[in-house]
Amino acid sequence: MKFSYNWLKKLINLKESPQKLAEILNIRSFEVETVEKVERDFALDAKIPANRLSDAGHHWGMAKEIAAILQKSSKSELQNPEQLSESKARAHQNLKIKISKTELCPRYTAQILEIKKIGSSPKWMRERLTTCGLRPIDAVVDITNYVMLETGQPLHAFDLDKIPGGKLIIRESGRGEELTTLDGTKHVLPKGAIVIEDANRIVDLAGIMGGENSAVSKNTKKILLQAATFDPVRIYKTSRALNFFSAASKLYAAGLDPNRTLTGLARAMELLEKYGGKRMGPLIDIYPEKVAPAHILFRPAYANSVIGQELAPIFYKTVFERLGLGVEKDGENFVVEIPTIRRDLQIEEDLVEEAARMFGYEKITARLPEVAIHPARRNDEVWWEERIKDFLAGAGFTESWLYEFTGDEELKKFSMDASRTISLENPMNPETKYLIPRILIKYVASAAENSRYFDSVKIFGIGKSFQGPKINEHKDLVIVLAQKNTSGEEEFYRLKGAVDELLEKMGISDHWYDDAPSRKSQNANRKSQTLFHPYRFAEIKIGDEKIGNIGEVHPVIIENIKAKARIVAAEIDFGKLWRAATTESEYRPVGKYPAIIRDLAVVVPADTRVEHVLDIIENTGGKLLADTDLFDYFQDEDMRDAEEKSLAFHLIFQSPDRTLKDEEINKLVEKITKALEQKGWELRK
Amino acid sequence: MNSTLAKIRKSSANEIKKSSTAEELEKIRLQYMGRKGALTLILRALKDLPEERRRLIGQEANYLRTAIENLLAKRLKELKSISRESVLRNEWLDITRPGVKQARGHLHPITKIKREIEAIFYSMGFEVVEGPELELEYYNFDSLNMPATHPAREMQDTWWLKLPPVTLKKQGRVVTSRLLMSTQVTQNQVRYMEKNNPPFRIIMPGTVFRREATDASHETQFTQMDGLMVDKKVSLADLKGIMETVLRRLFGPKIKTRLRAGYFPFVEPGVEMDIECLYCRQSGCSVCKQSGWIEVFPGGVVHPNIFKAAGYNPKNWQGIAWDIGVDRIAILKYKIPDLRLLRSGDLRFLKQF
Repeated sequence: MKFSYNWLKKLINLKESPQKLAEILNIRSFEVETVEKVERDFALDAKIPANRLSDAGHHWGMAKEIAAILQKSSKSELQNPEQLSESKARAHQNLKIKISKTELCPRYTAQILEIKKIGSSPKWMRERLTTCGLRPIDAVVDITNYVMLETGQPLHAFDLDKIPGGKLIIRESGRGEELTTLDGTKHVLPKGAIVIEDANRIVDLAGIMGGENSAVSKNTKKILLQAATFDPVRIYKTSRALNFFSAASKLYAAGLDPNRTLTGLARAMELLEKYGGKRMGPLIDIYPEKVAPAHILFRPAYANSVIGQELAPIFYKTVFERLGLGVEKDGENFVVEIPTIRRDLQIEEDLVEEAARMFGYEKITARLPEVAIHPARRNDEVWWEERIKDFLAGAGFTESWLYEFTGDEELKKFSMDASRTISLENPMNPETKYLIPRILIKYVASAAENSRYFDSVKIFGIGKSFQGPKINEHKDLVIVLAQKNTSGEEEFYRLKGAVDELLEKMGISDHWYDDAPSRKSQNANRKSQTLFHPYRFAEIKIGDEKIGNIGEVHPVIIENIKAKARIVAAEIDFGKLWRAATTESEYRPVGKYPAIIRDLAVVVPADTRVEHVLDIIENTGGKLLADTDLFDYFQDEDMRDAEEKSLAFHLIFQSPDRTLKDEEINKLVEKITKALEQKGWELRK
Repeated sequence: MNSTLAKIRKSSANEIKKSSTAEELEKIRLQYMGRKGALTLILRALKDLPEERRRLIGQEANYLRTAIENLLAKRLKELKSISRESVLRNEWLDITRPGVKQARGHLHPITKIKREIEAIFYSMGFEVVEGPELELEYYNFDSLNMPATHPAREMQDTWWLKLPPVTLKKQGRVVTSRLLMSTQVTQNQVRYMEKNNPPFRIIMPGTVFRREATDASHETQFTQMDGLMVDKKVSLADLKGIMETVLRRLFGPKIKTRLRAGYFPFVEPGVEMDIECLYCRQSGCSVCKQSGWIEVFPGGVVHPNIFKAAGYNPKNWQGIAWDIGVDRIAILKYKIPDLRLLRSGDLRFLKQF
């Protein structure tokens, strides 16, 4: 909201420059976002919180605020609004006003005026309006706007000749009623908007904007000048529903002081009479339930404990009086009377704030809390998250944080439909129409993007995915590896190795890879494209529980996303992962007796699984075979043609209680060799 | 014979001194002390001498043998050290050649800043608490003293979700709540207090969402970390102390701060701490909009309505709460010109950290 520096200067004896004034307000009251020179004046753009619009969202109120801070006095340019003499008014036929429910319009104040000729407003007024960002129009419109900027009371002028019938009804709208406001916008009203209706039609969207059908024009002869208060909740809801806001609707939605309508009206009449208006008929003022000032008990001792500073009771009293509040002593405490214009002051804490900011936050002596030194409980989920990040960064993966939104186009590229996605009610563009149903695709897309600049991409992240309609928000760990110009095979094993090491590091020793689901999917006549390559995919399991997936991204998807590289990815349910983790570990004694190592290479059909060969070796090796290690996996041109591959193992024999003899190991190796040869596999010498 | 010994002494010493390899030394040794060596021959000839002379010359010859042996040993040591030195010299490396880099990964700048801030709070006994990102309107707004009909909600543009509203029972009344993406992490205060009793101190990191047009300093998705401390007596002065401590740890002991008025529905009084602009050091620039200050740290004394929403009696407890914009701190600390880089996923950016 823009304030004119020159105008404020007229109201308070200000020596401070506009910039200095902005700084003072920044510290004590409101954020002043900009100070802008407008011709001979300066506009201070202040962010007034909604609950202070009533008392400070206008120049008189702002002047009061500044005066309280600077410990000066301020004046308003109208001294006694209540003393409106009615004697000068000319007779006019009665206008009947009916308010259907008092809560819609707690106070309705209005006056009929005769206007001879509507000219333009005086130069000084036009200048002030311009500084505050309003466009001068004509004397009547300018005066209503000016008085709103000055007193905070929104005013509306009807062309009285356009509302024949001698009556106005203030009521709630029904759904679908229509009105075109004076800016030319046609509205279909929701149920519950406050409207003013004459004998025939709606003429005002109360508190928001007047109707085009009753607007003042240059031919207007008689106006009804209205200064009312309306139910803030209904104004707010209607504005939101129509997505239609005005300077007045913002003030009304925040709530205004019904005791101020007359001030605004009187000020407007004073100005109108100066520029050719004449009052006709009596003042209209409907105010059935007068709002009285509230009283709040204020305890200086409590205030001191909240601020953390020993301040004398007299300090509080002085501050409140400077702010225009009434203060009465009540033993150790005060009873503070809150003027109805201060809608923000509702509880004792609000008064503590008034005192604290007037004291000056910069003067509060900073200290650290004095409390018992209870140690913090460890949050295991967060703790593991950090350990995992450290591990993966150490293993050469770079952490990435990505957006959790997606759109139809991206989903389509990943062959996903939107059936289980959660849509935004109010998206800003089609690319961010949904919450991401599977965070993995964001990382795959990012790896593809990065493969334009890097031959090798290794990224990871811990992110959220969302699915509906039954809400499912879950955290996943995603690790992605992309490599240009490869067959993708080695990358799969590199990623698998990284997952193995990570899980080992987390104390998880019993995980395994299950490719049964992918084999099933080969047979099933699937309608939709899977994300992973059907022959390079496995589920990661701990015991019977699936914790994630690992695999190469399907070539069709690689093509869709125009990736320049093969991409392999792992997604692991983070909740399951950290719950399976443990930091416990136990020392196992180092073998006292030397180990004997024998190497063994075997040529097997290309589709033989390493696990199968290992099983045979380990089952035949007996308990002296302490460990078996695949150290070479090899396939040359000839083998490829013959659909064969070579596997080479280290066989490690060791006994916990004696030194092994060569002869007994030879026998064991022979046994293993035989078992392998029985399968029809050839041992390489 | 005496003169022969003198000659041997002189020539052997000379030859040993001139020798340059272990092999040469061995030759010299054989030449004097081998089976047919000059000294050996003298010793062997002793037995033919009269007793008096045998004793004298024998003694002399033995001394000489020891002397030569010592010289040989000494020279051998010298030669070894010379040859080792030359071997080492041949193994010279050019230390200006670039080192071989290990493929290292990088942590995200947000993670790094988050950890820095968390470490400060861990050291002061704060616990970390996380909450959901997909949130109920009740927690995000109603419980935080922002009723549905209050314009304060306008301060945070919200992504609403197309999901059927949820019905809950709160403080004995039935509330129908729509679903949204959390616009702040502050609601986790209420979520935590519903389940825990004071005194406590917690920090609440999390991702939050705003419906905003994005530019270099506005994002739709960003990271915040709220803090909350509830005890019998905690005050604005304590809050100021915590804020200053954190900012000094993050930006160095000389960083200038200021505490000023702020408005947030969930605190009363509400304040905001600014730090001096790190780009212009208060001479005025576009980053700080010429003000010299950058707002980083809103906070205040917990509003009694928040305690009520959580089921606490506000008369029994005092609380202080604050919020740190983690992304904002990250771009300030690392001088990142555009907030949107943080979630771009661009490795050219990420590999710098």
